[in-house]
Amino acid sequence: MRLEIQNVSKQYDGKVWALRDFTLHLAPGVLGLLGPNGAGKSTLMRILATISNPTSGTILWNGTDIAAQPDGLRAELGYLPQDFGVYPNLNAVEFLEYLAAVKGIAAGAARRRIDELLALVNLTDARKRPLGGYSGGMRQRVGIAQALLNDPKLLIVDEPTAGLDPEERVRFRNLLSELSGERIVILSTHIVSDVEATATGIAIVSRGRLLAHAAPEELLARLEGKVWEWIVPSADLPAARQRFLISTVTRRSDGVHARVVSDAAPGPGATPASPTLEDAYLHAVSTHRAEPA
Amino acid sequence: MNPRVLYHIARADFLERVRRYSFLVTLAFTLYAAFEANRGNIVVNVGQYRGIYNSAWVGLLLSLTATVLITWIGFYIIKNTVERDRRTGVGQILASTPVDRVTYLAGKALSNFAVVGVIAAILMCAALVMQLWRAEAAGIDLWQLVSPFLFLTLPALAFLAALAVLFECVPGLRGGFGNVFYFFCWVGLFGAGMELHNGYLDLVGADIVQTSVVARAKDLPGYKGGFSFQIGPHERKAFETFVWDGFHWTAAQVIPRLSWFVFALLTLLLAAAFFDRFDPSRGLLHRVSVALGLRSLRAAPAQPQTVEAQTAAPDSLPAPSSATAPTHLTPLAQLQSTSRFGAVVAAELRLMLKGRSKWWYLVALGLLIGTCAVPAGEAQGKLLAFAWLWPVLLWSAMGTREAQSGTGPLIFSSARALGRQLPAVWVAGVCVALLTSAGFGVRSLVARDWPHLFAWLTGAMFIPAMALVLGVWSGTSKLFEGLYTGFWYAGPVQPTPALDFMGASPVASPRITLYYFAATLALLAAAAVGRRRQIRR
Repeated sequence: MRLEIQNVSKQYDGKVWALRDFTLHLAPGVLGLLGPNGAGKSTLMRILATISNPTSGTILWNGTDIAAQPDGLRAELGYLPQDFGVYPNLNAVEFLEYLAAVKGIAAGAARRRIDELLALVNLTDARKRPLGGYSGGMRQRVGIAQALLNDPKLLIVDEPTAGLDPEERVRFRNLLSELSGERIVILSTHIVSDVEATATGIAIVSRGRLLAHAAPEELLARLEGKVWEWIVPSADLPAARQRFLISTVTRRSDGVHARVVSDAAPGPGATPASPTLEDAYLHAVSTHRAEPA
Repeated sequence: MNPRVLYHIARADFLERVRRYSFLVTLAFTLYAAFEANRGNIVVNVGQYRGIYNSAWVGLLLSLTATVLITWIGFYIIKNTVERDRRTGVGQILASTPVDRVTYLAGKALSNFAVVGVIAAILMCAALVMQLWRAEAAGIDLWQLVSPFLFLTLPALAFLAALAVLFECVPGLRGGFGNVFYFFCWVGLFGAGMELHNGYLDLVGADIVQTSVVARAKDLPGYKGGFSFQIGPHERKAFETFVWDGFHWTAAQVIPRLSWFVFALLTLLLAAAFFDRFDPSRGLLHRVSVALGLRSLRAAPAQPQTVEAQTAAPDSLPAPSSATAPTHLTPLAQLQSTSRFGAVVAAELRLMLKGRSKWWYLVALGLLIGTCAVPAGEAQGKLLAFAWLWPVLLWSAMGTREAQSGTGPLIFSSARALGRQLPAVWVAGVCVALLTSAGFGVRSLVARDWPHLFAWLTGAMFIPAMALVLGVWSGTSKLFEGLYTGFWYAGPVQPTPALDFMGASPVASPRITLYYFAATLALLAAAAVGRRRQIRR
């Protein structure tokens, strides 16, 4: 099972490049796709989900070009878009039955699968209620269920935990981890902790380009010795922000604890800290922003 | 094409529609139409005759009613199925599945057909009730009652179902222009069938009806020709009656009718060719324009960097980005709370006009100059009518913009949304009406033609009021686009004095103008009630 993204670019209306020369090779596991708003993550996902075609470049799913023969991938694809709706007057079972049919799942198998998935996403009790009456989190869970209907070999989820309560979020993370052994999961999110908990690989994207693709441990290792915890007086914080990349700030009784990413200690009293993925992400994106467009 | 997939696409879409409140409203209107037919406000007559209400005649009357009304208004009811998937994002999920374009669109057309089929079925049942209610003929002949629905109504509905899908797939026809354009297509098809006596062009089947009924009526005493189908209030006449024993369907009649199913299939295939599968860059028109070089599709400049090179750690750390820099907002010196109605009107007017091409303005200017230049009379009336068709897409957005663009929560939570914003929308619509036809008003004023001036001013107020109430209550622009175009055609264009809401007729009746003025006030009140309901919800 292999997904090869080769030199993919996408241009909208002949003007804006949403993706540029994007190359990435994936094997089974969870890929956390991180990037700021407008980085091109959703464009990449739409292309991988065969909704959109790239302007140039190719994507091979087990050696087959998905632009030329999309149905091969579609049969094995689960996709949860970032913004999706439902038919408000159908209930969860009817909606999932509909999508199961569209995905080509046999009626008997679909029924069993829908029951299991509704139990998995904790919606069994609400299965007969019209979707229009669902909360945002419940709809999101319906979205997760539909993405898993056909037992996909490639699962693409765009901001899947948006709107979920903490308990559901943990549940979903665990589910992704369990699923990852036998398939490729691409998880796009702004929530670094979601990636931290599940991803076996991380791709950082900014302005349509791939900035980094590595295992989480490797990304963290690159920042070893470059993250500092520094206590600064409140009044000096704005000046510190101007000079250094500060990833988090915590106010405590002894002053403001700033987490600084810097080659050298930012000031007297700064102590080395263990890098986190958030530090690595901010570092990669800031580095790229500092480069000319 | 997988029949199970087709069935599920059609089923889900059908259930989603029939469980909506708006479908209940549609059914209520259907029953009302049947009631009006029973009251004698919908009639088929041949000269001074009408058929007695036996199974054949009520079947004919209500099948013709169903065919005419559904092919007109039904189009606007069903033309939203692909759009719903596009808007809700369900389309994105569908696009990532193996379902092919033809199956998807066929499922949608099938759902369209089922929805309008339910309406037709209700009218068919109403035909039976009507025969029993009127009790002019005792025996019930089910074949004569049902066969007009089978051969006249169903083929037309099948074509309509596919045509609605086609309109949703062709970019230029998807929006308001398509809604207005369809009305003219409908008028064209309706007229072509009657005038050309060609069953392959006669969507409604009116020529078959006319030929069949007139063939029987020509032997009636005193019959001097004539055939008409009238919907709505009309001059009540005491018709003489005759017995019409129904259609004797021949291959020459049935084959052209069944050919509309074939036309429906071809239309569906055409729609599939245009369908973009929820990605505009896959659309036929886009691909053609790219092929013709009308759109740029440059390849991305090659990037020599490899991923490994890109992922290499930088030698030195960057300066912090602006994202982490502190931000400051300039505090407002004082909160402005004065009521600026004029500013809101100007803003609404700007919203209405924003995004129109220069060609739109050029045509509007031409019509404005035309209403100034053409002397009073029939020609000026016609020009006024066209001047008030041109901004139909501006008016049709009134009251729906908040729902369509999702700005409702922002607008409705602002101060005086009902007392200020809603009237401002209406005033902006009135301004558009006055501006696009100012010449007519000026000429009427100069000529001291008070009836026409009053009618013009009333029309300028009536149209935006109608748009506003339909937009607020339906949440869609289609209803106004469909109804207004029909009203516009039947009233000012024909012209029918009672329906001439703008004074386009050579003689303007102050009494009728007064009715429309009163209707304007009623419509505004209804719009306010609808908006209040939206705000509270």
